[in-house]
Amino acid sequence: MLRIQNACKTLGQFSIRDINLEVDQGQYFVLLGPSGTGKTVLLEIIAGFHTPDKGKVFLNGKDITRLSPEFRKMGFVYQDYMLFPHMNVQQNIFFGARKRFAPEEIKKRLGPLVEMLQIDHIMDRFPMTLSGGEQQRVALARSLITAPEILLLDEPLSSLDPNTKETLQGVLKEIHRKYGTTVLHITHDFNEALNLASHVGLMLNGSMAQVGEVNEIFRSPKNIDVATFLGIENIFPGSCQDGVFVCNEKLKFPIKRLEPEAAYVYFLSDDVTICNSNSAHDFKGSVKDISKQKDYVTINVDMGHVVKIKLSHREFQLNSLQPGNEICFSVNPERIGWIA
Amino acid sequence: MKTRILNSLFQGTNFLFGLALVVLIVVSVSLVIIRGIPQFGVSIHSPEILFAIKLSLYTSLLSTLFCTIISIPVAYYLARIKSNYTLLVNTVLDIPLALPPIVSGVALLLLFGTTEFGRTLSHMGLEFVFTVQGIILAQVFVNISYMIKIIYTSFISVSPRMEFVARGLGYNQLETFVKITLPLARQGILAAIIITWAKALGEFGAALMLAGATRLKTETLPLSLFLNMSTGELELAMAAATILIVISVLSLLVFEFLGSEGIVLDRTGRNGGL
Repeated sequence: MLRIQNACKTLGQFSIRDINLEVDQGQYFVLLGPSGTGKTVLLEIIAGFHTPDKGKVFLNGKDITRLSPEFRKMGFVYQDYMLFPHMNVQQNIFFGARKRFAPEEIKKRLGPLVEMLQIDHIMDRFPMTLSGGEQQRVALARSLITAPEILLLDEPLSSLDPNTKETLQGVLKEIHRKYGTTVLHITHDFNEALNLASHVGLMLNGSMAQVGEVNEIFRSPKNIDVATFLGIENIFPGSCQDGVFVCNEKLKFPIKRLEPEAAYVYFLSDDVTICNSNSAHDFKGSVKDISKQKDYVTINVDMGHVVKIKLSHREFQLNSLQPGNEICFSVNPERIGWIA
Repeated sequence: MKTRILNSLFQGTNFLFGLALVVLIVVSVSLVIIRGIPQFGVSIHSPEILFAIKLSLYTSLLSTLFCTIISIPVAYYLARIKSNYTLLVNTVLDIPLALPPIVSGVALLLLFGTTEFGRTLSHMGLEFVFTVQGIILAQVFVNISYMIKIIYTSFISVSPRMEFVARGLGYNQLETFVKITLPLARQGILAAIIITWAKALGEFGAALMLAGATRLKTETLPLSLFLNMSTGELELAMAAATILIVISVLSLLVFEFLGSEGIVLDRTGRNGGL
């Protein structure tokens, strides 16, 4: 449905290079990447706010690279909402709708939308008096009422507090389910991607590093940069020796389907378990330090490299660990991957 | 102890300098008004002052209108397009700001009085040298850069992304400008109009060079003040000065009010303001 072909653009300190991307009808596509990598520039190119220096944008097979934004029928929602401050909520919502629909049609569309977004009590208020969450709901309503072909969301939840963020993720899911709108959502937050996306594109340093289904990306990162950005805690360099990946004397991993070009091995800290038995596949090391978070505890074990193990608070208390303790742990062999 | 004395001395000096300046301004301006007020009723009915008031209003209103019509598109262009070319334009536009008005007047006089361009315009009926049109042109030339600067600042404060959103919602560039950018910049534009008008009323040097100082022909309020001071007609001079002071102070108050109103409205949320 939406296809971007070799798009390049330099804008101030932001630049994107040779971006290729396809988003199918009805997909919830999350474009993930760290701040300053040019995600917003890409989204603004799709919306027609900038013309790419090179490359093309197609919508439903039609080349729209040079089409003015007012003819593209795309809804755009910014992180800082960009509600028109001189109009109240209702005027904001009607602003775009008036251009596309007759008054009766607008009224018909408004009811269910206002109900779903729960903004009926603030229709007379001005944007400055609204909370961030309310402003974002209004911005979504202003866009959705025009029945956009694609909803472009530029870090829509980034400036909201954690509770509002969670609620609005629910709202976004409901919008996608009810209206079937194709959504292209950009964020730097993996949790948002995991929770919302059917497909993910990962942008690093102005290029598209990996595109795929959400689980695929998190399970098999294409290269070391992707793995690092995805926050995979345990990534170790090494080499293949007789079907075993050797990082050092203490860290050796027998991996199925291991290829000789493997240069790194990786696994998530959740896939490590502390064990009491002492089987041949277990690792032994001493606890270097312990870092406690709200939901879990991370144990750093010195194995030549630092291996991170994530435990629940309950598990942590049961094992009564202290820095300096010797511990035994194993890694789920199904979950160990390698990167060339 | 010593530090406390030093601190008090420092604060005291700052305060005294401020106070001295305030006294100087208030006393000198008041003296003009005090001299002007007793004869004000009579002076203001003299044909000469009446003429000067009418001519000043006519020229300043027209020149402010021309300035506004030209400044809005130029300021918007400069606020939105970033290139070396706009940097050059910006620098050139600053020149009239830096020039003494009397020099601007000489430049205009040379252009319209001595060149083929000026003569051609003159043949077409557009005579600027020693005419009322000359006063308007001088006021526009001296004030327009200043007006562009103020309006530019208010356009810069409107996020281009706000305009992007409007474009995405189906509005073309002109519609977006009229419905989003102008309303959001309106306080800055109003303030620019008021201050430009006040400056146009007081414009002297450039107008004197280009339009001359002919009684009852090109005699605006500041020129009337100048002519009457030169001939010793103090009452008339003070009347003209008093009118200029009143207008200047009033427009300054309106300018300050427009500036602060934006912030107050922001807080109550009735308006986004600047």
